[in-house]
Amino acid sequence: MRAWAPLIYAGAILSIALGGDSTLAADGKTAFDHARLSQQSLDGYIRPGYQRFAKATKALDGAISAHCDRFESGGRRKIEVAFDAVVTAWGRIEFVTFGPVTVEQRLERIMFWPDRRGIGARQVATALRDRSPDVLDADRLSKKSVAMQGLPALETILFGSAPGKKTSDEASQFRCGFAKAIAVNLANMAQSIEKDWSTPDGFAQSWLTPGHDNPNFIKPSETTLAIAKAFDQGLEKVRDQRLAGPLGLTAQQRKIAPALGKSGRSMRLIAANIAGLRELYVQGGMEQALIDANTDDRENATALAKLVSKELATAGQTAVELMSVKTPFQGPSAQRIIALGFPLKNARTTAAGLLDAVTDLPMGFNASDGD
Amino acid sequence: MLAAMVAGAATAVWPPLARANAGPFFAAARRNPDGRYSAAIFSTDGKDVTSVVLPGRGHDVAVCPVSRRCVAFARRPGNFAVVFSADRAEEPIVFTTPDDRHFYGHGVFSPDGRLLYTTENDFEAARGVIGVYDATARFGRIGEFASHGIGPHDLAFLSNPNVLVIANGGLREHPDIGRGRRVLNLDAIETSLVYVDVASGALLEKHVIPAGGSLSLRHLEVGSNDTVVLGAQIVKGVPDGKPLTEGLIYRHRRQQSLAATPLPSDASAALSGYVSSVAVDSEGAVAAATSSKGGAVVMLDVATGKVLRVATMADVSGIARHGHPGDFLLTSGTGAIADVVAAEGRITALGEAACNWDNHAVLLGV
Repeated sequence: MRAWAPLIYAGAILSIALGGDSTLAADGKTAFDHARLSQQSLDGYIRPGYQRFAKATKALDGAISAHCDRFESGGRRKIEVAFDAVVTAWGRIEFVTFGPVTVEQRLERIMFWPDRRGIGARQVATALRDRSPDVLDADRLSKKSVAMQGLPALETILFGSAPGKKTSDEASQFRCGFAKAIAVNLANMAQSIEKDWSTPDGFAQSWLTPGHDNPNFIKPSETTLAIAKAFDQGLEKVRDQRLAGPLGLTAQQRKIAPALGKSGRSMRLIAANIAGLRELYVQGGMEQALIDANTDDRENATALAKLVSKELATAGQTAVELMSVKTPFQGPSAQRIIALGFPLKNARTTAAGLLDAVTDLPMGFNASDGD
Repeated sequence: MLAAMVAGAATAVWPPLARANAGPFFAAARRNPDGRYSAAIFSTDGKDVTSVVLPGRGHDVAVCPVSRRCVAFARRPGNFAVVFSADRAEEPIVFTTPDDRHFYGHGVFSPDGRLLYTTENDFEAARGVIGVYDATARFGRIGEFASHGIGPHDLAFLSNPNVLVIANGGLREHPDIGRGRRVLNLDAIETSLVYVDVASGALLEKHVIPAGGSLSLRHLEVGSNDTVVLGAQIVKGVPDGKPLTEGLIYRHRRQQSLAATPLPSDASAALSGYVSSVAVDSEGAVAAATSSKGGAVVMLDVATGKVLRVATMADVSGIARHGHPGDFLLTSGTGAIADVVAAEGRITALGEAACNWDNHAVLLGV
């Protein structure tokens, strides 16, 4: 939450209520329609996002089966297309950090990153070498290390071996079985998450009806806070980890291996991340909510709110252009990646300032990120 | 921690604070307007006696009961601690955990001031440890013992200087995952209160809230008659989790069973499922719990558990005993400093600093 700091401080009002019976309302803040935003984010972003991810993982499972079980022609190419679709679908919904995706370590099981010590590649290599039967069964695989059952592990299996290296039929078959188990595991998780968000008594019910008997959200503002944090931390992760990490521009000045770099899909994932954050902001209803809530200076608020989506579009365009570069963090494209950080940072600080100005969120230094 | 401080203070000769500001003085971590983090010793009008830059966001400050040296700890999953003092007699000392450990933001000096005990995460093994540092030798780490649980957070000495009481939060976290703050065992949180013999590390007593719940015991203080007052947090996202307003304050004495202190509905609603910090007053008779999420302070009688007052203050979190019985100092993420007295329940603004006060505040001395 670091980038929110000066903005929150500048807007903070010393609101000490006497006698313990009331809290002062901050000047200039208009009633923010939390219920409308939670509904819009659900319909416009969360549900469609998980539906796409469920569909893509199912198709990947189908493509791997077609190639491995039925030896259909062009099978390898179809797997790569299906893998790309899963990467894109996941990237667009990855920053939802609340609800069904947080249970059973699903976030890590789908995308364990950063993997600073290369645990995933090592565990996958060991399982391939030992022909561990556990990794051929999706259920048993789901109980193993998070680093060997998600997208990075599948990437290692599909793209990890040196090109042209011949492997025995038996080894290929085992690789196929492992890849298939990961695809089924991903599809199972995607389906569970989608179902929990779509069934009437699932998580969506909790999302839409905050209250004192609700285990997840007491006040209506808490779903807005969850959305705001997902957006803010998502932007932070893309800029400060996904982009800055492989360039060694992190606070620790230690390089982090790019996400899905082995297959040259780092920028595909990042482009999807930025597109997803823009969807959360625009289709998910944040932009309109920020405009609607600011009745004091609607013109200015509208311009600022639209600036956020424009900056995300600019960053997204650059990321898409870099998708064809196999090693984007080296050579001339590295400069373009550094430049990509600026619109992302601007989007983040502008959105934070707007949220602070028009919502009654507990966005305080301690309340928003306690310990 | 405060009980130990008081015990030590009786015989200690304290160095004069190096400023003319009127006491009492407090210490806390904070964020500066430029976004950098620091820790400070300050007076109630918000003026610094001294401050020290921190490498990252801090959490609590431990105060040596003998020398009044302060140690500011990184909040989880940070691994630094910075030693500083009011009279600036020595350069700040920075020390860290080993690479395979990180701090949880809290520590306590032994009553004789020679050793510092800290709550730490052995994250590869997913177990809690108490690190032991030698305060007489630039805080070199001389050992560790088990916290007998996962995620030890706050700790304090009882009046018996051999007995350490520890709240194990029960949350499994790893610095590589979700910025070190994602709960990896949502379906099996087991939070506990333990008493440990510091000489041997032996477990004396352990009280567990069984796995499957959504409660995490976090902060504690020791009141009169060695009554431990605990503040809990409800962890969100637990499958089939309970409503957010249950059992947030516990009081416990050794040899008794661990049970939540029942709160009236206005008090439990004010805490909003989340206790940020707890303190006991100068007599150990009144306890207070803050909730930054609820923007509230709940004060209660240590002996009976009866809620005395509920007061509200935006983004309040830091709380420390102040001069008189039932009197507490409050700090807020807005920079505000205030006072509240349990007998009246009235919050009085004392000052405001150009910073965001972090989670905890502690009384240093008069």
